[in-house]
Amino acid sequence: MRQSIEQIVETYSDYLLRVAYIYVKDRRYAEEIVQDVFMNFYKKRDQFREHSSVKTYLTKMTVNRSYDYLRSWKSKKEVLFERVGIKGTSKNSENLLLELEERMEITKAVLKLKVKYREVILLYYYADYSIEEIAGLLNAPKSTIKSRIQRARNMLKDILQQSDLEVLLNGNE
Amino acid sequence: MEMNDFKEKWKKELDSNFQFSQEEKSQILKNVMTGQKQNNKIHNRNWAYPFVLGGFAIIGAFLLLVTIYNHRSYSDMTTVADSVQLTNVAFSPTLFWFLIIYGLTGFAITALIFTILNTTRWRNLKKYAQIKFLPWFIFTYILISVPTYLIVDILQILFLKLWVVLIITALNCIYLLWCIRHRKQAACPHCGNRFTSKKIFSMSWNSYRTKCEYCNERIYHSTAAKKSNSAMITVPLLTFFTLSFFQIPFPFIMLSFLVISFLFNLYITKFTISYSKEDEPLW
Repeated sequence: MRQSIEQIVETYSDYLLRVAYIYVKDRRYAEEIVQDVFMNFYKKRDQFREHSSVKTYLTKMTVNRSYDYLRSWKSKKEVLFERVGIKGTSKNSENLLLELEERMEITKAVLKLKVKYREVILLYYYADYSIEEIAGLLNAPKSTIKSRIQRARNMLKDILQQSDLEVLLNGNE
Repeated sequence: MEMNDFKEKWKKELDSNFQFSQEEKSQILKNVMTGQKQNNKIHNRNWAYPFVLGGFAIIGAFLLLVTIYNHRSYSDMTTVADSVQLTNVAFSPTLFWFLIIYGLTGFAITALIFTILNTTRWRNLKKYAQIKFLPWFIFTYILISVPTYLIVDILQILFLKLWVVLIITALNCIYLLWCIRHRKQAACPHCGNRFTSKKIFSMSWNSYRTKCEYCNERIYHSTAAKKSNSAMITVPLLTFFTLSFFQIPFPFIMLSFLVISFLFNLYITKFTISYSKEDEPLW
């Protein structure tokens, strides 16, 4: 491996934090996911055959780990409590969203989408992956990814309708 | 291009608001190198949720099946005494009741012996439960089968039901005793003095907080004690619930409930209650 673990942590930790946050909507869990990803990567570094870039490999690990969290009872419990209006002991996504309301309008709009839509938006617009690469990362056909991006874009347009930002999404691509 | 604007603006937003500090990066690196995880909350699965939800699903399915089988509502079913037809059983009702009563009695005696042997507080009683008494115990158990069978044949079905309820009550009591086999009476978390049985009984009705009679410090019921009490009492409550499906008359179930309630309040709580210095959250 060309890069040392110190360089990898330095280069990709912030990027992976953002990826994990868009999935789990909670900074604390996103931080834990990133830590887990680096630990697993370090433990299994011999298994990395460099068929893809380190960035793609780490992104895939982060996506998988985020799904683990979303499937966990802890996540489901917090979602349930949020829906019935009970605020848990943790600083949940709703509180964080209120805090970030003023300065993160686009992120707030993206977080309102379902996970299958926000992941494609994240990978396509933020991580700069092509549709083929996203299809490979998420194990889904290219046509599915394309239609999801299109639907996500339309949904974002609806969400952003109230703000001036809708103009940003009026383009075709 | 407009979409590029969205991309740039979003990237800027995320990049400026989500980043690790240098200390956090160093900590991650340190954890990666040492292989130690800190405060990992994702793996902490709470067993209570699948357990409770699974329990509700099973009870729901059971009630549904019973209702479908009987073609009547749940409320009707518990009052009508013909849903279990003993005449449909291949062998005679006498043999049926004998097997139930004899089997349950044997199980209750064995459970009691094991409870006594494993209870730390009753070490002195161990001398009466030695292996040399085992053949005598088996012989006596076989011997009582004859009078049991004769009594079962003579007694009316109502008394047989009462007998079964009494054995189940005894089993519940043994279960509660088994749960507290290694426990000691509650002590003050500040001064360490053990409370007397009378004091614990009076304090047990004070559900939130109280004061230690020795050091006068404020003490609270510990969360562990509350959880353990709730878990323990669930089993007897479930047996009462189950008994109602076997056409056991309500007064018998009430009798069983009273016996277990008295045992729980007067004896079991002495060992299940514990106190903490601070008011702990329930979960």
